[in-house]
Amino acid sequence: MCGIAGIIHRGKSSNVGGEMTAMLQALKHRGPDSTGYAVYGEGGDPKDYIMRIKVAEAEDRKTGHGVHKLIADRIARVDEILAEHGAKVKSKEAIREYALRYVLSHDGDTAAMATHIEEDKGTEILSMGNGLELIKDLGDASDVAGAYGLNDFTGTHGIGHTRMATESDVDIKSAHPYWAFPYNDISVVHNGQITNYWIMRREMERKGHRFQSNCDSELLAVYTAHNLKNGMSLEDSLKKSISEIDGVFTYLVATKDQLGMAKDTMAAKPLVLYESDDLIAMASEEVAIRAILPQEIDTYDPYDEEVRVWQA
Amino acid sequence: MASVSDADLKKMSQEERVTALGMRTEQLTGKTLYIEFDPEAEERFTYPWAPDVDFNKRTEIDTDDMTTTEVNAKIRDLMGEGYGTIVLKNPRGKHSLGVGILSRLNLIIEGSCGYFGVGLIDGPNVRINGRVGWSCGENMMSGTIVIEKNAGSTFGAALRGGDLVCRGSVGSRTGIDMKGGTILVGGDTGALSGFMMQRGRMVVCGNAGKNLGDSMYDGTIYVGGEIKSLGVDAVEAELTDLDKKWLTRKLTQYGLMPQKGVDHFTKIVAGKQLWNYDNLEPTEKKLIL
Amino acid sequence: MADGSPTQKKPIGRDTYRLGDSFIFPPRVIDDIHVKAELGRYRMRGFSLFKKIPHWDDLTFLPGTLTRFVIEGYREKCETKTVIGPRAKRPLELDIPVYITGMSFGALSYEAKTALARGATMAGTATCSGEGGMIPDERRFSSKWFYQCIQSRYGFNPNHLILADGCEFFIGQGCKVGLGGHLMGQKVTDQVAEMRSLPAGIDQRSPARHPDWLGPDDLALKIQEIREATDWQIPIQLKLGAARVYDDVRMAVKCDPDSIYIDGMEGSTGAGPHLATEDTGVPGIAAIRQARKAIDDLGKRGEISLVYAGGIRNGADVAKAIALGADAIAIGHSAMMALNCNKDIPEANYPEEIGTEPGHCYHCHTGRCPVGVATQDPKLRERLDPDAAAERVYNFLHTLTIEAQLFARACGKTNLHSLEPEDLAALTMEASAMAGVPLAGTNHTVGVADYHHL
Repeated sequence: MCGIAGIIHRGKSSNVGGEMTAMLQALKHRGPDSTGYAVYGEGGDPKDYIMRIKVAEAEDRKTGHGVHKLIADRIARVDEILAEHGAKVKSKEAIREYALRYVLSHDGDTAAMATHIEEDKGTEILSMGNGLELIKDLGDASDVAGAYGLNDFTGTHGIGHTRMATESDVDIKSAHPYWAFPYNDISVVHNGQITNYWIMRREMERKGHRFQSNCDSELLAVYTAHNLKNGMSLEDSLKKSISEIDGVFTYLVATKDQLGMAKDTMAAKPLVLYESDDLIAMASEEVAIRAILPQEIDTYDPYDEEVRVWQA
Repeated sequence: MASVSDADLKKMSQEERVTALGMRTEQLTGKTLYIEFDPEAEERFTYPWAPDVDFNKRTEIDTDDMTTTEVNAKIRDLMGEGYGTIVLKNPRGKHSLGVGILSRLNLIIEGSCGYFGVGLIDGPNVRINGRVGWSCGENMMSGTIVIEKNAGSTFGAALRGGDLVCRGSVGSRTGIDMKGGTILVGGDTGALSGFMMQRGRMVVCGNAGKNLGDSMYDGTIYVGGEIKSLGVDAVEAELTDLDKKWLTRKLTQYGLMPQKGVDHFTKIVAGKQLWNYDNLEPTEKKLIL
Repeated sequence: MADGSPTQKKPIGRDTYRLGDSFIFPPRVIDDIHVKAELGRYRMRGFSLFKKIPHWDDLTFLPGTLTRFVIEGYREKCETKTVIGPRAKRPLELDIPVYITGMSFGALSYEAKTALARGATMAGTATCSGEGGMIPDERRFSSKWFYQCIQSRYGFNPNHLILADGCEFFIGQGCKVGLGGHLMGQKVTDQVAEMRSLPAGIDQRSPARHPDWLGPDDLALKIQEIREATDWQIPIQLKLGAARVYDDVRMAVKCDPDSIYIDGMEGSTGAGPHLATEDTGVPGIAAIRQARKAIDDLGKRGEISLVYAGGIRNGADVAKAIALGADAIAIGHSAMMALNCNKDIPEANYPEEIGTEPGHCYHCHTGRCPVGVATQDPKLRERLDPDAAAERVYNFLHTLTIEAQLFARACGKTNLHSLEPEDLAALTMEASAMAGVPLAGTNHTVGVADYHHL
């Protein structure tokens, strides 16, 4: 039960960080619990990866002073594992005590490395990819963007989310977007609820995928990752989800150079679309699009079972 | 009442059943009529303020830096001062603009509104030179709303009266639970339009999505374009001359007359099978599986 | 004899031909299957829950003896004033913590609706319109009146909304959580149909979802819309059926209403599928504690009120619900019993008219209520004298209050709202686990280490 937003510039970079912040701030009332971004920069050397991790949860931080040592230990362990897999840390930045951004150079199996890092229960990789920067934390868009220095981020496209917790907890691991672990550069935001979640989740777990939270939206990320890994195109995966996933949902998927949306058969979750030659913007409410495009524009609602994919 | 048995009732037609159950001779019982009202209690039953406005008195509000509450309070104040024509500039997708106006007024919104635009109104004439979000004109009692661009889902939900016009396309569930009035759509409409419609008329000049008129109790839907599929208990009916006359008049009134005229419209009405689900034959009960 | 051969002499209470009664298929279950096989659909009925669940009777009060100073039972002041929605410009102030919940005109007769309104006004408390719009006389007789904004929006009129002292969003009802209302054709008279813009005599099945908002994110905007339309004057209340209570209430709080109303599975209906009423929802003793926790966890205690309804029969139930965390109590079915529901009045002939004995009637859905409460038939309606009925409603509401005060005073409280879970003990393990209070005579609360800080 949330607000979602997405933006994609065709063939040029722009200040997507600032644009997403303005859009998500306008959607604050739809989800006061947490805010998240997945924004995509230019991406340089294919062997360079940006990895964002968090090593403590909201409830850990309530436990007292012991948590500082715990956090330090977990970070040390991450550094050890990176070294073990031959990844070279180009830069390491602690944005918050528990949230870090690494720039790595790695020529090997990133999936194996990611799995190894997540063996430590408290550590979660929020995202890894050439261009993807995934940021999520408790609070509204301006808090999160301010803390993570996102307002000046330049890139081609991005998706974002403001969350109102339904049946799972208010914490970072249940915040959106979800990265499609361990596949580079895929992220998902979702508004709605999935009512065959546990059936689908057990199916995905049997196929070897991991889940970090009990949030139904994580399933969409895993599901998309599973399909893409098996050679399906993003568009086909979105189409297939409409018949396989029960409930009501509108969700956005971003990959390194694409942005896709899908709306379920009940069309119960809102999305407003604005399309022009060089910019496509979408959000749960028009007010978010208006936050970045004050001039008179034409917008419309996608219909039920509609699937769209845009190329950056 | 005891004189009518269940078996007898089942044999009767709808009309006969209603009469046999005493529903046509509605009256209050003797005892009730003797109650005297407490004169002071009448205070609880005063209808709201209805300002006398002059349509020629016109003013503008720049809503850019105002909250919805401030805008609505300002509209009320201006109506109290007798302004009959109010223009809202820069609405920028704000929600709940102009809701709950229960008096005549010309309201012009220069731009797009968010959710619940001008819902719960009784009387005003509204023109929106932009787009509206979900549930525009929700529960409108009377008046007109004309939207120049597209509209979101649940357009005219539970509409009870008046004319609700969108020149562009609208989202899904248009006219859901509609109880009267008229909805006119220049473009297309999405799935489940006219869902559980009770009364009133809905005209869609473009195409309609799937499950059109699902579970409708009554009312009429006219569609100019393609219909993806009809919902449960919605059936096609013959377009009569009277329908054509009415369509011509309404569409001309709002400048939505298609080039092809009105002869190609499809008319959808309730099949009325679900009216008394309990009395369906066993095979018919699968209707709503 | 020993091999089971027939005999004339049978020991009393022993039938050697019978191996036993089936607990899986007792006679009533077999009858039920026979009826459904004929009918081809679910069975409709009125009334509340038929089956046994842990409920109010499984809790007991622990009044003061030597450890506490008790308040003099029938003399000393024990405050009963209750405020719903303190943040609104015009909060709903009730003299007593109990009010009459929404029951539609249509399900109930005109006489029943006005009698409830007059009784409540005499007691200084509120009534609610229920589905199907306002009947002017109900508003006229009610000093405090909730207007219900229900999924179907039957008869919803902004002109009437302005007249209300509170607006209640109906989202679910305890007795059939997740389903819409029902009004069978027999009760959809010309007048009722006209108020609801429906054809007369149809079987009316209300929608289960609101037409204009489809999720809690949209609900927050809908609440804003109603607030704008009523100039932020009146409290907005959300009525939820008790199901996933903690999560539901947490979301409801985030939509920022002034009050949240939880309806336990004990709640009643005028018409609903029998199985839906039996097998949906959670009991009130579990629901209140969870709802209270959700509101408190989000720091909204004292800002958002909690109203409970469902299975409240007497003052002890009222006091127990308040002790578990409710701010106010709404009653429906017991108020109808005060009107005469299931009473053997001289004018009525239960066996002949509806085929059951008084005390066993659950035929509200047929519209042939023998006491003139749940009917639209003019002849049956004459059996309810609104003047006497209003007085009975007042008497019942007043009694509920003084009974509840009795427990509060005995526990040493000068305010009814000072009752807390610590004033209760549970009589069964189930009740202890659900209500989160210790098993009587022990320090053991089932499933909880520290019941003071749930």
